[in-house]
Amino acid sequence: MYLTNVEERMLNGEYGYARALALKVIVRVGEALGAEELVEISHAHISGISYLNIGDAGLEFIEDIVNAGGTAYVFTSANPYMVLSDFLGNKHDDKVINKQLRIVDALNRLGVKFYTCVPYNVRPPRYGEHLAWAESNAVLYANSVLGALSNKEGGPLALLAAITGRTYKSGAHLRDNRVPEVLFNVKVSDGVDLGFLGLVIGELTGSKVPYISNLRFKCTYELKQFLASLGTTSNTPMAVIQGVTPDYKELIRGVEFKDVYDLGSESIKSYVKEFRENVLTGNGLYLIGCPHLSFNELVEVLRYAVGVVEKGGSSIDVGGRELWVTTYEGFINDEVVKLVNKLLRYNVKVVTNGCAVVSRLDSIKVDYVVTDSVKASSYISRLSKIPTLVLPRVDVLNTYFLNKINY
Amino acid sequence: MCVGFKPRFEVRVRPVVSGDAEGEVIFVNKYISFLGDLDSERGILHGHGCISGKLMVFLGMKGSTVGPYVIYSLSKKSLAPSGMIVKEVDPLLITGCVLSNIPLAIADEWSKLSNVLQNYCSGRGCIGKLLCREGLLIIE
Repeated sequence: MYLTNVEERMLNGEYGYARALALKVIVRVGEALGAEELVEISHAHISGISYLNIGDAGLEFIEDIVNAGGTAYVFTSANPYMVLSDFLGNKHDDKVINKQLRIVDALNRLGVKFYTCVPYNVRPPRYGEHLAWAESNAVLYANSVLGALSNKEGGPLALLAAITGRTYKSGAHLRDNRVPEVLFNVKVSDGVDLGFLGLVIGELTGSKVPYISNLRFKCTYELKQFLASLGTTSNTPMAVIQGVTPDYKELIRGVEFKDVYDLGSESIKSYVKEFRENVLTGNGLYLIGCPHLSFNELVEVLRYAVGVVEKGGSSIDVGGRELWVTTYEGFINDEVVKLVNKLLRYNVKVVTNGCAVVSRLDSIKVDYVVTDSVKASSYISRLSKIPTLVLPRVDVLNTYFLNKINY
Repeated sequence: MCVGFKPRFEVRVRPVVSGDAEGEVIFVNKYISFLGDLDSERGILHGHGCISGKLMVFLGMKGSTVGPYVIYSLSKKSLAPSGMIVKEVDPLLITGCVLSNIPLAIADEWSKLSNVLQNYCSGRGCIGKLLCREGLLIIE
């Protein structure tokens, strides 16, 4: 592999042991994948930081590399981690919480600026920026919507890229690999949950880049949900979307698609059935914010909730339930605090830095989850082994406050 | 009578993480998840026994992205294998091996290697020597 002068010196230890080790990993992985050189990145985003996922082995590694002098060489953010607050008074074991806090402490020392799965809502990369991001929904958003370039960095690779400011130049960093191979002609009726459509397209496209034509998104919320779902069933780091991907016209120019799928509303029927027909009993967590809400989404959700409780008055009974709204810490301003204060007595929590998916909800005695996120539902049912139900966002709120289940 | 004759097999390998390694060969003809298939406190691969200090030959790594951390943790406890030879590498396995200084190589002649390990080594045990610089795995 060709290395620049700086990279040679970094590899030889002139920038410290941690950077040398990190670069060695990146070079070896890059060589195995056929990369001819490295690429300088502007932003690393680390995933896999929940103690419940990475355990003592992960904690040990992150602490070791930071203690060995590993600090961020470029702008670095990280995914949210396990939710530390309680659910109806049930908390995670103190030992588990302490180990999670040790991971966060190490990452803070490394130089992580914030913890959210929507780094694109906090520091949106510009078109053409090279990134080393490891969160699937964020990688899909950056490549497909903003025209930045990132692979889905696995395991500790984003952390190592943060320390070196570099990653191997292959995959989505190269223009040729961003050209779509599978065509999806979408004709769905209004009101179809695009989260389900993301699952279907992800499954059909596998690791190939899809081109999605004729699909209209009413708002970025729909787009986020669609891409998050797509990343649940597919390995592709990007989708080329007509009218959304900045350079979609150039990327499809001259492409003759061998694989073509025509998808209508009926294509998602089996998924809708699977995700909407669970029997729910016991104590329920209602979850909005997977992926984390943007500031506008957050205010919209809270305003809607306040509207519902102001109309519903004393008839509202949320016994045995909590509503978690998950978002980025920096979006909590005076307006948000005022809205949240009106909802506190209804067991509503705005959770920052946390992610329900990586929280082993069964350990804090959550019996079921109702959410608007197909991604959250898909992972929670597998990781926490509890039943989940997916409803449109408004219906999650209506069901929570008014017990109106229309499905 | 042919006293002391020991068969010796040589298989070409492509080094990914360089270094030499030697040890009893442990052959697993499948993809391994280091998170699920391994007891990382004791260095035991479920159904195959202890892997510490041994030369592991297996198809490749699958599953959780926590895998590299598990390899690293094994290595810190001196429970890691001495080397790994696989049919396919993936970024996570390479990451784990570089961080832990474990030589790793790809066996392109996989069917030849698995034949030797299944037919000759099965039941009697074999010693393997991984010589990355020579691009060679020697089985005795």
